[in-house]
Amino acid sequence: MASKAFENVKMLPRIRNALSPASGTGQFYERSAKSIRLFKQGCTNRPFFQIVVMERRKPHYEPVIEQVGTYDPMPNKYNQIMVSFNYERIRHWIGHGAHISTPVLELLGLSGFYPIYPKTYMKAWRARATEAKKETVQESS
Amino acid sequence: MEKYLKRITTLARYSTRSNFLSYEKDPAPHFFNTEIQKLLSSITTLDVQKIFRKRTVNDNHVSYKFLTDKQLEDEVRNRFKDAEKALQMPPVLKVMNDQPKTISNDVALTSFSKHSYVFTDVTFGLKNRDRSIVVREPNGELKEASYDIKKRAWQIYFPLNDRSFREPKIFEEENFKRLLEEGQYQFLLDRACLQYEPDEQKYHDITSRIYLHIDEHLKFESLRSTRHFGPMAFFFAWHKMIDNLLLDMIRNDYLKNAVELICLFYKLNNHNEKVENILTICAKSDNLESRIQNIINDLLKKNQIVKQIDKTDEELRNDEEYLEFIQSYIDKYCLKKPQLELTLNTYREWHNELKNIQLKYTVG
Repeated sequence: MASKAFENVKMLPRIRNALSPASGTGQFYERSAKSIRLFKQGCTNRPFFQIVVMERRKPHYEPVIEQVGTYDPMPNKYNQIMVSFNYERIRHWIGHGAHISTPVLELLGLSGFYPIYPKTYMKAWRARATEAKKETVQESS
Repeated sequence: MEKYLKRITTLARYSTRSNFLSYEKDPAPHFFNTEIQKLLSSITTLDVQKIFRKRTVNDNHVSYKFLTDKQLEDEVRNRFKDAEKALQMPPVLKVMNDQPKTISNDVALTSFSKHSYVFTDVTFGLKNRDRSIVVREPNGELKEASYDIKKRAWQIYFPLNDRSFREPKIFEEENFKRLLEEGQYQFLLDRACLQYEPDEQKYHDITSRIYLHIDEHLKFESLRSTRHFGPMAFFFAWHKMIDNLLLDMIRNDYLKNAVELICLFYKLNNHNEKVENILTICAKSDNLESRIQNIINDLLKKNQIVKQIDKTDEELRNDEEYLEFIQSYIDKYCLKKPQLELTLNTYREWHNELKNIQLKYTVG
């Protein structure tokens, strides 16, 4: 936190550290553009994503400001994909004007937090179309 | 393959709705009633020797200290508080009714994915039961997660120590049976408490099966002065099958507990019997404070060498009241009348003899 003496000086860019429980080590400017995005972890042939808040201009491998969820894209033995969101912190960062990347928007749409993202509908109808195509091919042959 | 089939058959056997006794009404309001809680904790009996016995755990250490008399007294009192804490009973609740609600159904999303998505709220500081956990099915339906999924999600994101992620092997049929026959009741019940929530069907199945096994083999002593004794007594009183436990209590000279058990039976089954008088006598003879004082005096070697008497006059008088009360139960509600009456008569004879001896002692 900046000291009180500097609070009125809006022009100075202030470097800050996040202090929430899941905060990362990433330093950031208070008024810079933030982004909520996927951060790929895991290893070869085993992707795993953390959902993180970062400065938008920074590349994906830099230290993050805060981790706000996880996304495991590989289905478990019950055929379920596990996703977790820290909705409280996500709301906080959205309130501070954070941008949200498309994959995260899709997940948030599916979870019922946001309206369904248009891309998800596109995926759905394309999948249905290919299914229908397959069926017609099978019927004709 | 054979192993797999075996496992499936055991699972199937579990999943069929319980063949064991279950609670039709909600037992929770009865169980949490203060009077019934008092009865249950009194029936459990507090035996410090048993609670702080050596166990097969890593931490069995003994430490030695120099203490003043005051410090020693405080230490003993604190240990008794610990013992009371260790006897806190796992609650008896109704089996939950798990019917996940549908939140929305978006047909346009049909076949958007081949898998279903489970979304868990991992906000800090929420209780697990308050977390929203929802599932988006491949057909576009958004609904609350079923209990199985919820429990798995809790264990993934907020793991409970020692609760295993998969079904523990000791609850597989053959292992479970073996442990029952070995009489490892406390071990099984402790594990069940850890693995399952008290409102799960499986918890109810396992516990009721263990209780019935104990009842059949009259092994009540193995649970006495553990946290499971109260729920067990509650189970028997609820299902009107206290006779074996009563028999055991009379045989082992827990007459006060027998009376309390009968009171519990009356209360749970709405029998209009007068229990206030006898309960006040029970409450008066409940002498935890004097027991603590006795132990302290023993440790400080302040106890004078007293006459070795089994029971004081007052205790003998109380016993007579208790016997009368138990007799009235046997006459009205008992299902194993001849057995219980025989035991009671034996007790009476012993009691009279004790009285005579004591009379002689005091006169002589």
